[in-house]
Amino acid sequence: MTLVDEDRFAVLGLEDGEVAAAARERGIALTVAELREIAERLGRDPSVVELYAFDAQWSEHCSYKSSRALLRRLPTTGPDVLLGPAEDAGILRLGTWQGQTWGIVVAHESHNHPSQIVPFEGAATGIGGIVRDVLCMGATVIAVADPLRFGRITGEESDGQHARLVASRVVEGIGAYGNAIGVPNIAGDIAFHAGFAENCLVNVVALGLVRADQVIHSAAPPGSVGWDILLVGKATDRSGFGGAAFSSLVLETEDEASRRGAVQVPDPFLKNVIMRASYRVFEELRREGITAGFKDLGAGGILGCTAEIVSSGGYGAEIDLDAVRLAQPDLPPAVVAVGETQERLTWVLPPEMTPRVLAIYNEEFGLPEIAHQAGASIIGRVTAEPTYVLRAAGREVARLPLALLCGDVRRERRATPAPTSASTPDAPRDADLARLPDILAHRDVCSRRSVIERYDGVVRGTTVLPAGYGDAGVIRPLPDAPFGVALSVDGNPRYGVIDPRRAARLAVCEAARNVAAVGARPVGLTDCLNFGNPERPDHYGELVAAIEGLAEAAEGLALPFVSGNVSLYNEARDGRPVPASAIVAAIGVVDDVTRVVGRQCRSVGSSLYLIGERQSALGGSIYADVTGCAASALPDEAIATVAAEIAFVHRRIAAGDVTAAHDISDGGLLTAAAEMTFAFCAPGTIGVRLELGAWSSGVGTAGALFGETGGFVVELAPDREAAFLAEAERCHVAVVRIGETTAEPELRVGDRAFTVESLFAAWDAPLNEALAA
Amino acid sequence: MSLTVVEIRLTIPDNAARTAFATLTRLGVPVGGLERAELLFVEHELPPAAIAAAVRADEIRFNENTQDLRVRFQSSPAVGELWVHDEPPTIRTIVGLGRAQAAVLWRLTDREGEPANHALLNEAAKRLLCHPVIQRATLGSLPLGGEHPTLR
Amino acid sequence: MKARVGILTFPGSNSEEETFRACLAAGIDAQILHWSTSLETVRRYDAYILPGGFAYEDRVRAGAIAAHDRLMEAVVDAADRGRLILGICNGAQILLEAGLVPGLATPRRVEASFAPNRQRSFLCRRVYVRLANEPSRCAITAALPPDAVLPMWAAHGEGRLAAPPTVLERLLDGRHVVFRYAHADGSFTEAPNGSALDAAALTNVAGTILAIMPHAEREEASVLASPGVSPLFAAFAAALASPGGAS
Repeated sequence: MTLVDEDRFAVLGLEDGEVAAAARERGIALTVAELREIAERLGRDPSVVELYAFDAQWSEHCSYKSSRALLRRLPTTGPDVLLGPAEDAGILRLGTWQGQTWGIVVAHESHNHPSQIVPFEGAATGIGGIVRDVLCMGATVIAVADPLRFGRITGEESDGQHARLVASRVVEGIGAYGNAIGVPNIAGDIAFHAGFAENCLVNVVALGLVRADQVIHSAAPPGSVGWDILLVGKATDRSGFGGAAFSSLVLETEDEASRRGAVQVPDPFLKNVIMRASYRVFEELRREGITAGFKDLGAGGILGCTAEIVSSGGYGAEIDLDAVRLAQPDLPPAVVAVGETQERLTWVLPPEMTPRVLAIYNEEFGLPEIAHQAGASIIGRVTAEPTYVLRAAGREVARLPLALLCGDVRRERRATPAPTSASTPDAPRDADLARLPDILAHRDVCSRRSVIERYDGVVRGTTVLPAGYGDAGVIRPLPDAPFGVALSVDGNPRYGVIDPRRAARLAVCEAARNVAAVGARPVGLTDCLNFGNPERPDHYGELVAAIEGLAEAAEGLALPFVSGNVSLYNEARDGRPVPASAIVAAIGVVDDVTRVVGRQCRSVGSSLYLIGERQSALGGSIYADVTGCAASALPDEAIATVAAEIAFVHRRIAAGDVTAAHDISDGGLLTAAAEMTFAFCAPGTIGVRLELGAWSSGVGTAGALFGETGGFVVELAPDREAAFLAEAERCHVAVVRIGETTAEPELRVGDRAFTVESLFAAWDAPLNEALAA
Repeated sequence: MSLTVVEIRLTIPDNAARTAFATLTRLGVPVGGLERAELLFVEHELPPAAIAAAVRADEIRFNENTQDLRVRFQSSPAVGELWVHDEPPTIRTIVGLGRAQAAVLWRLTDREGEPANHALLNEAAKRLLCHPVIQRATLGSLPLGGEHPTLR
Repeated sequence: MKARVGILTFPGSNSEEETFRACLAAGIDAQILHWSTSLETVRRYDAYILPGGFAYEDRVRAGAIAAHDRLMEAVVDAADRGRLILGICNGAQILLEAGLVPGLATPRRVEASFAPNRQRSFLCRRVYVRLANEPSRCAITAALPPDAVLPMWAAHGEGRLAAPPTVLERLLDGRHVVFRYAHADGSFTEAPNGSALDAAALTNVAGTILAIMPHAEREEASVLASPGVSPLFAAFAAALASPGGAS
């Protein structure tokens, strides 16, 4: 390939300083060493288009160069895994219905940096991207979830107006996108911490439904040489250029103006239509028995996606950029090739199917009518040689061996040991019960109603238990089948600061507990690892520790990771990383959705039981935060015990022994008990009386009532106590009766009584006020 | 305190304008061309250039990748323009400037390519662009927002 | 012959599947009609449902573009002949933008709006609605018991009824408000979105069209709900089956 000067990015024969300056000028994040490697392996200078291609493909975001080796530590196999984390989404087994096996597709991603700069678009395009990851597996998109982390916006300690702006705009963006495409938001969590004030975390999870024999893979299928490569979706424009590399650089305030340009523009309306059109295409392909390749465009744009789809099949591609539908004329080839315009997907199809697929997108669903220059076009074909050739205006602008572009990129990083929790609990013994209202009003405990109500949680009519009514959201994806899918997302940043490894462990346990608490059997996990700068050994050490913690818990609970994401360089200007945030999603299966339970107590005079022995550790707890007491030891959990408790709880719920269940986490057991007296948007009418006893005196009432060791509080159905106790005995799960529900709407513990109304008022107000302003 | 009117328009194709144009045409309104922009009415002591800069810098209000902005010389519609305000008014907050009323600007040309006259603006407003209850329109060449024609 | 109901979708509609299933459960013979369907085919239906979503991205205003879509000609003609039409959420907005509801004036014109919520944000909340007048004021609700309290889901950013005082007066005089927001115990309550008259649904003069903002069709899987057919869809089925319902 011969390149004229203006098409060439000069590396060979130049000094390091000159190369670095030229790279910076173009906004390239690759190091000089990486640029030299590229030039050497190509045997020439790269073209400008090729330069941007490598910038995207070799970015941390795309290549996982700092984390890929570490991620091998995570368990990824199991009897419920239909597809592990090899493609854009993983697939877990839902069940068999009418002779067919159905799978739940799940993907988990981050969109942190864009959301900090342009919160609405950053968050909205995050949802857009994760939905495409699920769609391109041939699945119907059935739910989304949003784990979010912001600076503090409630109470006296606030991280300022910008933190509030980011939080409210992110929520708006997620709602605007999910609501428009008509996918219910069924789960999420938000935590507020000063450590996120400059680096919010916007993680997103999407679920899909697919028949196991109808999965579409993101690779050019065997025998597809000569097949058409189609580009479908939004007209390519200049927005989003450089996004993948952008997410691998630390955000610098002075560069914010240029960063803004890198954030993509969402179009959920167009996506809505593209989804429905794609479902039609799926029908056609299945009717014809055709195996196609389908992949969504993300980081790296057209070049990244088409290169990967053919490379995964062992093939190459020839792509003509002149065939790409453009939103505006005269876009430079590099922008067309690598820009990250949203709402686009790629098909690899046999030529005989192409006309029908084009007609579906362009005529039946009328994409060009709906948005200027939207539509489906043939942009290239699959070739036998694993070489990627890109043409524009009749000239070759890129010719790359795919082994180099899409090959494994690794960077060795050094790690120093991460902080660990104190092992000896140093917490006070006696609980200050009067602080309960303050705990309920705490930023990480208070009601999330005002966020949840901005999301459509029931569109599609499949929602069994909406977000906020129980510990996990539950949907029934197949209208006639009894199965349900439960989803919870978790990860405690206060723990992450103290001990990244244990925090990750506890995140897995908490997520699994949350799905069990609605009556689902946990079947799989996803994770998003949000950490600092991998080039700093102290930050990198936290990532290493967290992965270890995830692996320990997942192995102990026999839960595989089927999808995940790594987001690095979440670092403030002063060099501090965000609180170590291994955010985990747990997916559970419910065999009979009529047995799902929420967290609100159902009847008067029911027994309340505690599962999960209390500990005196109060490190990282809400109680310690509110009271200012000295406490540095995090709770710890024996994974085998957690596994037994989880199995026990979801089975008892399925058997009908339990009418309400709530996991114990932020704010401890007393908070859980209080929340069980609340309806979603009003105080409930049933009260709770807790009886202290050996279970609380042994560890001290502070630990017993406010300690955050994981566990459950369950309300038993009338006449089920004996059966429940017999099962607990048989399964060797320790359970203890801690009280009962009452007709007076009060929470009574010891000599204290709080009205449910007053507790609800404390719990409901803070976030509502913060977001309304 | 003076009033500065900032006009923000899309530099990428405006699908809302395209769709509105297609609908007006189907309704028989003889529109030749239609453009759309957002208006911000900023009451502030800062000079217009500073106000424009503040809007540009507010990433929530302005996306330099897809939008362009300019300050209007007058705070009323020019010939061929229809300004549609919501009732009650839509308020936007601009970082550093505070609250500003927002409105939609429609710029119409007739089939000869000339700026739309009063009758055409009126018809376009009545048939589609201005809701008789929850919006009010001011038409280019009128000194002030007049009574909406459909509400008698 | 059983009445056939067309569920008309536009680009951006998103509730058609659950609306279809709610019809099925109620024994209604329904079909989802894609926006590329010919007008001739669309005309062959006896009644219509306009489902929820964001038709045409709410361009210009919610429902404004869809109200003038070429397929709406079939709906308008059907309305003129007294056929039954149910508009849910975005569908209700379309009916108001088309002037079909409340339809006080002749010739038909736009008289009211389901405007942005008082709180200026999307609100998704489980609500209850109760008939504000006698069931037979609207043919679609005629089969409901007069004191029926129906659980539904409000899920919209623009559900606040807005109209000039003279129109509101005529809505009251003409008993055009079909449902008002209520508590679970049936007592009327303030609309969560600031809707005038606390109205959740309106009908036209003849009572053949229902424009309702909350969704009656999303409870199918919910553990919060009683199992079974949506009462509103059951009433719609009864209306379609009754003499004059399909004519």
